[in-house]
Amino acid sequence: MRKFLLFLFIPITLQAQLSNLESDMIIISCEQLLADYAIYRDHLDADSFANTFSVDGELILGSGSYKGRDAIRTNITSRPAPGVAHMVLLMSSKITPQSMNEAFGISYAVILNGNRPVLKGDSPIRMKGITSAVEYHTHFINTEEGWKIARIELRSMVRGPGLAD
Amino acid sequence: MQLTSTIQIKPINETTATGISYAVVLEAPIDENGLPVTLLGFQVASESRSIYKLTSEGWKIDKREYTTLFVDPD
Repeated sequence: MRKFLLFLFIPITLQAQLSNLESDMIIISCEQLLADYAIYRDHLDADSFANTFSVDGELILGSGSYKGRDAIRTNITSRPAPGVAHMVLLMSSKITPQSMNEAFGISYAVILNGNRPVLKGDSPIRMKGITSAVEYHTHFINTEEGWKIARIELRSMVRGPGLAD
Repeated sequence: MQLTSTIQIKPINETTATGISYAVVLEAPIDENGLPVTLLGFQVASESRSIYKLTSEGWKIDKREYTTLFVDPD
């Protein structure tokens, strides 16, 4: 009986072990996914933004929770267009792979949020310091479409003075 | 100091890639005694769009266009 239990246990344990290369590749994939999240959010590219999430992924912001790609897409399309200048400046990031199909991450970002669009040729928005500094707590999963965000929660940590005018 | 932040690179083919990246610039006169300089905010925050090409010298920036989105009022 003891040998049988050991037989069951070993393969599961081995499956959970990741080589350094596998772990590094997962970390790179998840960091690229976060960059996509930030750029598509800032550019109000609703389809691309929604596709950084798994089909039933969840976006949790201070304004509420949005579950599923349709709801996440609507979160972007419901904003005024062209969108106000907005930058998610990603900083420190710690991605922890759990297996070939799951990883968790904590990332810091500085947010600059304007009050009008800045298109080519427009003058920049006058900003005295940052709008805020936030943490993203993210659950990543590896799907048939590649690595996707299963859940991301934004936690606001620091408020800055923001707009000068 | 140019603090490069969010970077998104999209390979187009084996010799070309495009990228969007953000940067915040901190600017102040260097203290004569080597002490840190007090700053109340950043100078500018900008977005750059780049085209990268693989050349005989390796990957190089073929074109980079900056858009300044935010600026310190002072």
